[in-house]
Amino acid sequence: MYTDFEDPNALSEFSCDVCIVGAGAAGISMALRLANTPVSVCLLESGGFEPEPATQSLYEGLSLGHERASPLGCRLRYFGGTTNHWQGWCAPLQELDFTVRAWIPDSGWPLKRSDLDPFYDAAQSILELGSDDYERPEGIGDEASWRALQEESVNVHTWQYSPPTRFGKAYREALDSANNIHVVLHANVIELETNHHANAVESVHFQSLGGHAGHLTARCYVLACGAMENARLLLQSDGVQSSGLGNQSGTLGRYFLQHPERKVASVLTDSADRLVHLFDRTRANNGSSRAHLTCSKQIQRRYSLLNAGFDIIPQRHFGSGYDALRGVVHDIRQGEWPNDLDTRVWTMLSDMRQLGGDLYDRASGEIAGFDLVAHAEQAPNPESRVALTAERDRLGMRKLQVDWRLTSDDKRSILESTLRIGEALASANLGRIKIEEWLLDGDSWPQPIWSGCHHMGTTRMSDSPDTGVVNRDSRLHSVRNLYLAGSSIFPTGGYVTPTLTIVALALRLADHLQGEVTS
Amino acid sequence: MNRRYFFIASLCALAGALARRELVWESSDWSALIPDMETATEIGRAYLRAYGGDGNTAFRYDRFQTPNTSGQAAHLAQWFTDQVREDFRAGDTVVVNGWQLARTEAALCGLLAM
Repeated sequence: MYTDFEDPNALSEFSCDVCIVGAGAAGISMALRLANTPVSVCLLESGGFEPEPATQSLYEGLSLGHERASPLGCRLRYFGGTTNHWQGWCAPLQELDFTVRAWIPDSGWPLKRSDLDPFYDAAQSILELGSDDYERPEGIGDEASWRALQEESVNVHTWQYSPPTRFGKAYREALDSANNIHVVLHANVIELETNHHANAVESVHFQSLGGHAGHLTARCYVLACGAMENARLLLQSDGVQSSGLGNQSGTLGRYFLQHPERKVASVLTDSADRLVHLFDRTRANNGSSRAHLTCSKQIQRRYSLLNAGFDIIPQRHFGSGYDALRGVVHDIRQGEWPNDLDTRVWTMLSDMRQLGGDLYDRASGEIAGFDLVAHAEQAPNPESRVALTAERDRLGMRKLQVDWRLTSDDKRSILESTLRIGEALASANLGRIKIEEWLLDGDSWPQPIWSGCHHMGTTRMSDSPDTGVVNRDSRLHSVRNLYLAGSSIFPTGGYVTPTLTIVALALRLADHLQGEVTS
Repeated sequence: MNRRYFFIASLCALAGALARRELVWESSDWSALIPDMETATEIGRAYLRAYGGDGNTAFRYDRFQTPNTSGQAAHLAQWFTDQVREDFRAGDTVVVNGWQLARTEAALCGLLAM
């Protein structure tokens, strides 16, 4: 059921078992998992079904550090959240990402990768992913080249691509038809009301931009508003604890992470065909995927590296006709009748002029240049943080100030990783690299540097209340019925896009809450 | 592709060129085999500026005088290929003007620039 809280006649008092704040990837995944169970769920969403400038402007804030850290340009504040414009790249965090790495201060999760594996499996279907093969891709490239690369201390992993799933459209009807889900649109949470000890939330207050005020009581509360807004709501809820709700450790808002992403080198090769076959995006197994490289665990340990993934992308972009032809050839090589043959033939015919040029360039060896693009892990850094300013938005909420900080060690790690990847490519006779000037230019970072808009950290998960905000159940250490969902709880972010992990953690939390509520 | 690309490509192809031309190794042959001498010496000078004082240079130049490289061109070609590959595998590389080069390649350029 949906209620539009802009309607002044809408109910203003609600009660349920579980209140979820935020209808993005995490909030909707939790609601889907709890749909048609005995658990009653209220899902509060700030926006409506479509983008609205007035609602989006509630994200306005200051960015003090590197550019691209403002929530205004990255996050979308309406039903479906940021999935309304994400690109669909998916990969799970790797086992290494969960471990304590002695060379990375404050690394390590309270969870192991195996704790999340069943939920990664379940997240696959929510994200409409065709394959769950994130290791060396089947049917892509040639075996000898992969073997040669892996002999050189690099690992091969694969991105899988979601269509991308727009949660707001894909799951709107499923939530409507569930008998236990109540979605309230245009409901902006403005206060988490706690008891006098600040160890339990008693209710949430919310308001529409038109001034309609509401109140909700629940047994459990979940904030699923993204890494910036989760922290903002807790920092704002300072009625009892002046430093913010759940901030005994002083870590609330700190350890803000993103993924620095940038071209780090050109790859020059006389094996262009091999590189294209190995690393270009390929349609297979009812989805599409792309292989990429990382340094092995041993190399990361030896050189004290953060994790990083490297794509190798042709500088010459191929047209849709060429991609379609390559898909047909791939299927035939696999001994299969080509999928969607009529569509692919039509694509080739409609792109005939470009296709001719692409084929000529491939045949004449004109394509020798590739970009080596790094997706890098950022080291946990307490000085990288979000905080509140004195300025308030139209709901009276203090605005955010984002200070995203990258260090010289983050940059050193990218450079060292790039060198190791370059060595592996050269040893495997796949090409030579020419490193970009910015990467060799001392400790400074170029402006802007793309971050993937992957906001993480700020309410990190830890086993000890002294070092984080939530425990391994995603519950605030100090508040018995308040939980957080989304990438704000990541203690480290690896280098992979966070959406798959966000959904997996949300499903895990939903199961936990179902157990709590029904026990 | 720019000039440096062709230079790097030419270094990569050096071993093959040696084999095809059936040259007998002498130290002076290197200069005859590198088509873009200007770029090679430029990279060599950059290498010497950056790494010339590290005490390694003389040792690296010794590599080109080893008995293993004397004799048939095919031996030299194989030696060069193996040495470059071994440098990359061992992480014995240098960055010169942005290019990641095997130490042996860079030392060759340095030799030409001296």
